[in-house]
Amino acid sequence: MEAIVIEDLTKYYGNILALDNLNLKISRGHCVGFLGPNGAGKSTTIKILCNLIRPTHGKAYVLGFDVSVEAQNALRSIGAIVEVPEFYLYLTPEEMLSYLGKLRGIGSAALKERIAKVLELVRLQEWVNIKIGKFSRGMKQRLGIAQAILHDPTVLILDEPALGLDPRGMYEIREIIKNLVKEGKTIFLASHMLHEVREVCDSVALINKGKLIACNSVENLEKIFHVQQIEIETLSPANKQQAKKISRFEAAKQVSIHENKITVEFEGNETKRAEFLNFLVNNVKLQIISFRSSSKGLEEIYLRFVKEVS
Amino acid sequence: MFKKKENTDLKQIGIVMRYELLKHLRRRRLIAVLAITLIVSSLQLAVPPAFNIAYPEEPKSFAESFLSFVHLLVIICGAFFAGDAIASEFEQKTGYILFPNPVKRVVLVAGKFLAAVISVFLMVGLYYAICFLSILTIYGVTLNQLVHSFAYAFLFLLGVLGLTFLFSSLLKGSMGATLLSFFMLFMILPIMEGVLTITGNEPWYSITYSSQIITEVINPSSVRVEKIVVKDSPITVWVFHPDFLTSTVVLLTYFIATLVLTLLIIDRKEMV
Ligand SMILES: Nc1ncnc2c1ncn2[C@@H]1O[C@H](COP(=O)(O)OP(=O)(O)OP(=O)(O)O)[C@@H](O)[C@H]1O
Ligand SMILES: [Mg+2]
Repeated sequence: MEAIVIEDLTKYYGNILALDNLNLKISRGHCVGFLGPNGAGKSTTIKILCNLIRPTHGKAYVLGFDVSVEAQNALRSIGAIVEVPEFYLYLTPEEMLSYLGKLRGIGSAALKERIAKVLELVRLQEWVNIKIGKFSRGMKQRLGIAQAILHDPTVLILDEPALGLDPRGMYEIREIIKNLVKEGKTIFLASHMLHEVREVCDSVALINKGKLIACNSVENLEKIFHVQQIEIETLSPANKQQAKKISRFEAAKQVSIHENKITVEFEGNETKRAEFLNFLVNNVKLQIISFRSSSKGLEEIYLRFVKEVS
Repeated sequence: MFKKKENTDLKQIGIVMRYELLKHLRRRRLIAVLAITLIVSSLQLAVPPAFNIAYPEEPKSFAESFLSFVHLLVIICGAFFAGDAIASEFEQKTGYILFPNPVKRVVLVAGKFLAAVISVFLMVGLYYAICFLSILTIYGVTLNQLVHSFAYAFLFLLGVLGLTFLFSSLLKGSMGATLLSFFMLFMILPIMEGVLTITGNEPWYSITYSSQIITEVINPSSVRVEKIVVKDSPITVWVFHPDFLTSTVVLLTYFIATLVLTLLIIDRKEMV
């Protein structure tokens, strides 16, 4: 069954067209990145999925429930972060999560345990009894993540969850999301951080001006656009002969060498990449310091798409 | 991972109500109104002796003057406990956390409304208790009319809270909703009533006019309308005494109509 189905979704704010006949399907157990420039309609889509606003026309379903008609049924399995969340400043995180957990019908013993667990997960365990009014932006964002996963939802709808987090926080949220993926949750992740999307998502949906412009697996998109990049650092610069050898490798589409750095536009899957590394070491006899396939690829796709459309 | 019980609407109303009450406590609004109640009560009791003025001879007159503050107390409470009840969820963006829960909007409004009713009920009840005890101490009697008056005060507070909730769901800002309901009840409606009364029209349909039954019931007037013609002048002065049944119906109507409107609005309101 599809976890999220969006059909001909259109939304006008007054006469501003925010969503323009958007269609999108997300199967269960997938993690889909939702990309698009500012004002593309990401938050609007997410608000419709959470029944915060109603579509002008079109439908949205979560686990088969029409979100505008059977909102309670749909929301029961959703955990969400929408825009920049705010909390009741006079409550502590524990009380805030208690409130939400009780509303969702979690028994008090289980709830207490779960709250301790999620607060630890987002590293707020030392702030359990401090009023949220004293929290920094990033701490509130962490609490936003905690409340989204509190009730162990099967579908997570996250609107820039890493916004305002410190580098360690961003890393931690990536790990949290990766774990959720492993547990088989469905994740719909709106984000501007391409490396984050690249790392945790199996596919991406790109929108611009309220329209879907691409939806595919990251690998496929990179294949279509020949834009996977591999960056190699070597101990000493590669000589002409070595450069020639590298370009002879079939999957290496374009090779540029700049001092100790070699950048290769690459077309191929993980096995091909492993072969390539092997080839560089054993055939080309390069002394390699680092070898990584960069997320530049996704950035490239993103930039191309957004430019083409606008 | 863990069992989730099917939550009934009723249970959820209770949960929302408890956290809303906690809000009133934490934000010191209960304390603030409690202070107002106590200060006004002490002034009513302490001012006459301080100026060597005797308390009224009749306990009923004492009650009438003491209870004349109930009207304002209810309006203040409404502003404090209901003005931001709904508007703040939109204005402060807390709705982004609250609304994506499987809770009907009706349930949220009901829980918040009940919390407001309880808070105001406690304050007004305390004021009546002080009135009752003062009369017992000063005059050595118990005044049964206080019970009726309290019942009417309760109807009035339902109407006021309904109206304030309506403004809170209509307007974008909590401050606007709070001020609008306060000035509507404290100034605009009374001025309108004054103008109508001068021209000889009874404003029976006004919530604040109807609320006069709170004090009227202590010592009901035998006539409903008094027309006083000032001798040798074109001036006629009208005095209207609200009818109990009509006013009860009017207060109840305000309560029900505003609450229904609030529910209709909040069910459609978008959290953009
Ligand atoms: N409250 C509103 N009133 C009017 N127009 C709005 C409102 N909220 C959003 N819009 C418009 O809807 C469009 C989509 O906005 P949305 O917030 O969905 O974009 P987004 O993809 O989330 O952008 P960002 O990356 O900046 O968060 C924009 O053109 C925006 O101007
Ligand atoms: Mg957004």
